[in-house]
Amino acid sequence: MTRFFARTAPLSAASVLLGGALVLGGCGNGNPPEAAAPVTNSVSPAATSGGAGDAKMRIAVIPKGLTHSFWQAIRRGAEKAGSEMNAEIIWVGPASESDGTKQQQQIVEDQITKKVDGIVIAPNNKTALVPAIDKAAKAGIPVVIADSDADTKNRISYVATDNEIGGAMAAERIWKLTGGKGPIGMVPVQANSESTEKREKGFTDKIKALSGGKVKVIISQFGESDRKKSMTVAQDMLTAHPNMLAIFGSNESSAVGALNAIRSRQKLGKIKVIGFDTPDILVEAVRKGDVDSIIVQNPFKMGYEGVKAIADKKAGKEVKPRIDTGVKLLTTEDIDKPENKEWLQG
Amino acid sequence: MSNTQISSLLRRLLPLAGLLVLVVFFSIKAPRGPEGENLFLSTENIFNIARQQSAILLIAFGMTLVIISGGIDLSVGSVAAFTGMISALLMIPATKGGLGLTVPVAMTIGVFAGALCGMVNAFLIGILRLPPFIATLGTMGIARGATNIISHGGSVDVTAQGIGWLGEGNFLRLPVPLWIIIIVGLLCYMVLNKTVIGRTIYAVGGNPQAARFAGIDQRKTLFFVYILTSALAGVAAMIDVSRSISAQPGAGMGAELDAIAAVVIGGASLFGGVGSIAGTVIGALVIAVLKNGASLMSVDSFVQQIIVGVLIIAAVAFDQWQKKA
Repeated sequence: MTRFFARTAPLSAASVLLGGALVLGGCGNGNPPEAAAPVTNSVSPAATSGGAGDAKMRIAVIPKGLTHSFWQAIRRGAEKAGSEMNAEIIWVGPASESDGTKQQQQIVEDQITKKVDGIVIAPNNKTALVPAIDKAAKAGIPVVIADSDADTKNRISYVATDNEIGGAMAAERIWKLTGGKGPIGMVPVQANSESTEKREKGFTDKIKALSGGKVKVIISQFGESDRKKSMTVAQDMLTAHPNMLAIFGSNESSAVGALNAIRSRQKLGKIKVIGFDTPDILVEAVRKGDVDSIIVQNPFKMGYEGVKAIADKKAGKEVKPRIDTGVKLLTTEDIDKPENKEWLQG
Repeated sequence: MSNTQISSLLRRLLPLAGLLVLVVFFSIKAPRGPEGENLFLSTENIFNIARQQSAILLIAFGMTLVIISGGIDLSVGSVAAFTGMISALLMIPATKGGLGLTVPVAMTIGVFAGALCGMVNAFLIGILRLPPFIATLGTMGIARGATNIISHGGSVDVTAQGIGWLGEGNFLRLPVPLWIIIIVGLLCYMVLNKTVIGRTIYAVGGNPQAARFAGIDQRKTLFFVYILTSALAGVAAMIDVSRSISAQPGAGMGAELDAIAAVVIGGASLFGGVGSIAGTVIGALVIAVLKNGASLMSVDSFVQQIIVGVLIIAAVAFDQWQKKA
């Protein structure tokens, strides 16, 4: 028995390694089945060694995380632009947003090593990603920042929603719903995330302006882009303020967390929820009236415009330093109107 | 050769063989650059790996000693976040109401704060005799909470002069973090193999009763390994702060598991008494090369998680078989 294990154990461990290597090989070469546009994740030797003239441009698109449907819409937009402009899209991001900052640093550095032709990134942190982005710029790789800004001048364009307006829209809606009364709550996302901080600022500033400083927004702890965590902090907020009239969740997980917390208290529809973005669960909840309304962005356009900006830059065309992709509020009445279909792709 | 000799040889050679398989695989399969150059084996990429993985490797060096001593330290990631945050706060300039300490001073204090955290761990484990898993699970939460309190849950930007050098700079043409891991690695190797305290770490982990009968002071050994580990977590944190020019309250989350993975894949036994610095370097390299190669090939990070998980299970399964043998 002893001998048997001594001989087979190493074999099996070695085969695991080989197996892992094979899995990697398989994934690297295969096209993701769900992708509509051709996404070749690997560079075929022919593309590099042969005809350098018609070699495809390679553009890395780096989301904050892979889990939110929002990023999938960015990906579709990026791939559409990629197929139109003969660019290969390298879609690569951290597995989760909560600890994504460090992973994004590494991803950017690895893309510099790969000598990609351009990088479109939604930074998880507006400071921590600056050295990596500057490194890319120094290596001559044009960088477009999408969705959420970073404190650097080394970007050719910033493609995003005007998040402050989005937050203010939510505030105006809530003000109308509650008839100008509090308490009004908010579930924020995380510290130093530029896009969601802007929404939160837009929201609290607008409530302050509308109420002349009389109604103060009650802010829960951070939901950290996690639905369960967001639900917990929203529940705690409801425990402390049982007479809450309405809650604003500044991204999809914060909104879903607020929704679930209200559901667990059986106050659906009584405490109004305004969410941000369009995961199926929120869209469905708006249709049913469990969520009053959602602020929607156009992530598809963000991905599309981001890749287009890189392609334009490479072609020597002028690129606008700020591209606003728009923002809209959708209620139960207008969520299924045909003109809003494009906005629900996220 | 006897079975024990074979198995101890395999314990050393298997991780190395695995590493070689990966390196060869990625050298062939990873994408080429525009001029057909091998990107995976480029100096730039190898330096990149060194910068990216140095923090985890430093933590893994400490973890190697802890695991050989028969313990575990779950608090390293939180301690890293805590010490990094302390340093960043100390570097807030006077114009913004801070102390405005210079980078070397603030970072030294940070590392000492790490050592203090280690002293708490050692006290709980060595004097109060709490199981290491429980004691460090507790301090993991305490250090994380303390980090969030001192930072008010937000990240702290660092603008101090020369902040980028430690993580991003070069010394004699090599990345500074690479020098740090070479020096710390050699020191840990010397301690484990050439000193009395090194012998006692193996003895305490391999056969605690025999160690006691031999008159070894377990407490001294435990204080040594836990203080060293937390101090190294502090050094790792300084590299991260330097690379991010900021301290994040969520920094180092999961670092303890990455470090344990490196140590275990490198052939150490979670039962204690077995393990080596060279093994840990190889274990960390296996994970680092896997992550880097997969990233260059644009394999998504979910697949990487699965492969690292499978490797850990394979390594521990091997360890179990050996125990039975």
